[in-house]
Amino acid sequence: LVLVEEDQRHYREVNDRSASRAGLDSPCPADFYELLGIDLDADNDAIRSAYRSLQRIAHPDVAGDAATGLSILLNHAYKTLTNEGARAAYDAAVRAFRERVGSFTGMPVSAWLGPPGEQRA
Amino acid sequence: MADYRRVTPGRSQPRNLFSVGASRMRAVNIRCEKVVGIDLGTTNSAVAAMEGGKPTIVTNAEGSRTTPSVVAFTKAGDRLVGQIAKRQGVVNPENTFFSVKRFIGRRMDEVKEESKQVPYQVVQDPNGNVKLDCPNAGRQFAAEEISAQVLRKLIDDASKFLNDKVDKAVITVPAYFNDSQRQATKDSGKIAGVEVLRIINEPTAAALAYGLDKKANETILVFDLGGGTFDVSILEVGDGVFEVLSTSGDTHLGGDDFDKRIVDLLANEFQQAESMDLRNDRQALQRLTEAAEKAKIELSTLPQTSVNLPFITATADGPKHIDTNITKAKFEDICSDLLDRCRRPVEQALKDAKLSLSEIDEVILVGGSSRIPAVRDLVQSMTQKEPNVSVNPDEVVALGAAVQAGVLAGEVSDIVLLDVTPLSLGLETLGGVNTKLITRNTTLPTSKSETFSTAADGQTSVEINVVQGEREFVRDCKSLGTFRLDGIPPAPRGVPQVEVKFDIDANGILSVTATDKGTGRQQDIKITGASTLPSDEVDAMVKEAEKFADEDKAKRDSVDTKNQADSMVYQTEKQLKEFGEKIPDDLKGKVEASIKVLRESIDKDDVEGMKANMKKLQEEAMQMGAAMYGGQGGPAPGGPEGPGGPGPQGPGGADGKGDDDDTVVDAEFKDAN
Repeated sequence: LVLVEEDQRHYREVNDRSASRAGLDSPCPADFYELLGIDLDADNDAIRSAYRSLQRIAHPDVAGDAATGLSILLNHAYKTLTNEGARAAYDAAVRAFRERVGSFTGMPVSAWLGPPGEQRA
Repeated sequence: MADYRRVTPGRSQPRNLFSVGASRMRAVNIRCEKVVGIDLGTTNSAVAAMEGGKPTIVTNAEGSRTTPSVVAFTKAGDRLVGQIAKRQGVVNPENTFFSVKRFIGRRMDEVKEESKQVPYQVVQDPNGNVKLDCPNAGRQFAAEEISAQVLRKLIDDASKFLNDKVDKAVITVPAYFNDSQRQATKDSGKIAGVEVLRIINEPTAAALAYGLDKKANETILVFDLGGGTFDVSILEVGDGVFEVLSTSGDTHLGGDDFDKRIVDLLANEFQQAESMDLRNDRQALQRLTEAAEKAKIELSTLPQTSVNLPFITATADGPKHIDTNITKAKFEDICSDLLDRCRRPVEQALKDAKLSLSEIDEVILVGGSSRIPAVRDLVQSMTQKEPNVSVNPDEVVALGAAVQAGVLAGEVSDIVLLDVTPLSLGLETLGGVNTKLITRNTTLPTSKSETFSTAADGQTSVEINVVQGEREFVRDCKSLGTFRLDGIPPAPRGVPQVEVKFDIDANGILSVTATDKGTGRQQDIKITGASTLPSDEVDAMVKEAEKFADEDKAKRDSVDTKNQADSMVYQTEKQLKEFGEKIPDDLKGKVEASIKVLRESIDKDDVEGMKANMKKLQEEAMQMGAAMYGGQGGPAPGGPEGPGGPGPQGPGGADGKGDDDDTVVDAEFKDAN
């Protein structure tokens, strides 16, 4: 539960219309870092500039009412990541989530599911 | 009815007498809709529009860049708005409404103090809302209706200036206005017949105008001391993003309060000398107020000013006068507590933005009252910074509103304003406690949900009271609306789960949804009901205002037609006199006859007749013009001496009667010489 279900819904609502213009037409981001397109160790300036450049495209004043959800999500992400306490808690959740679900490491992601006695097909 | 004639350069009647201009003028008459930004101030208002990518102030019909927010009703039943209303305030104090912004969207119990300071009657309606009594109109007005009159004038003047239809606007309000004051301002727009695209905060608007061409990141503090309200906002500006970090203010503090101090000073002095309280005499109070404002303005540049009010009242001993001096030091002394009240919002805004003074790059002064030297000194001593004086404090808010209007209309790109909610929003929970869901200074749009439960065993419904304000108890906050969610299955208290969700969109409109998680029953409310006027009343006012607007239009039309006719008679007569010998006698006779008929219809005030006769006269005047130039071609003034110029060429073209265009060219040569 990193992007809560409601946040994901917000994202999907606007993904087709405004988000594609924002370069957000990737699959639904799993967390705020993916949403903003920044690293887990990004500093406040990086967070702010990512947030602003996205709001410039996704704010409802610019993109229309359909973008409200995405704009709310960006505000939520920005507020969480720029508050030290909230960010620490959130980072822990993100790390745990990435650990469990896995994220891109450059290594093959498939694993052998055959009988334990055999090592390959 | 206007007692002057409006002369618009470039659009005056005489041009049509020549066939030249008429055909060329038509080509540039492109019409499209404009969105304007309006600074609806307590004492003065201003309008701006985007012109060529830059926000520009629109001058009003009287030629000023700001319009007094004053509406008056005369004995004859005329409605006056702006400067002409302000001018007659002294002789008609009960029917001249100013500073109505202090009452808009308010309940009577919130404005007890203010209502005593104005010479018109402020009364309470059965719902506890403020109404303004107008003896000359024989009825009571809501503050929204008075503001609507001001808006109507601003819009009308703007559409004349821009030569465009204007029916959409962005209107500014003090940042610290609550929801019902904002809604009331929106209602005013509706009554005035404009679609209000957005209500934005005044300091934010000022920052928009200031930061429009700023490329680098800057943190700015906007100190906005207007006629009736005080706001402080801190913003971060850069890369076209205007992010409001915090906002604070005082909706009961402004230039009017400084005036009031001077009024009290003068009235107290007078009372000591004559044992008579001038404040009970509405006309004297109005004169005192005007003199106080003037003295305050003068003290911004002079160390001392004099107040002369002859015949301010009369007693059994004869007439009484006020003739006294006020020094700057005395003024600052009597206003010291007002100056002190400016400090707290600045401190609060810094605290909310989690910034220290050293992190502020620029301090911008906005609002007419920021011209008071003591206010400037205070800002400077508080912030340790020379305030930025590059913006015009009276105009910058309207300019910023025009920028936001441009953004919303799609005329301006690459700019986005991230505004905040100025006050916390919450709901009433057990014991009358205000449980805040969205805290103040949260960036919009936003949404927040929280789960609540029942307070009693077997409770089957919950009443949700949405409140706005910072105080802990609901009774100290503003209730925005209530609704009920029922059909909750009976259960012990604390068991049912009701999820309440607050959504605020970019317009600042709050919607609240309550869902019973057990049954999935849902109930929602869009908070627009914070309005002090029921919607049917607003609709009635809209209709009435439309009727007024039609009457006004007819009246204006008849005045304009009369002026046009007058000027046409004058111009044609002048031409007859000057060029009489070049005009054939039969044409001359016809023109003279037409002038006579037109004169008669002017005397009879017959608008339709004037229009018809003007058309006829214009046609004849055109023939007259053709005849004039035709006859003049040969001995053209420059002709004989000018080497090879228009002279020799002239006759050839001008003699050919059919070739009008050539005569036209001749005329221009003559002008150039």
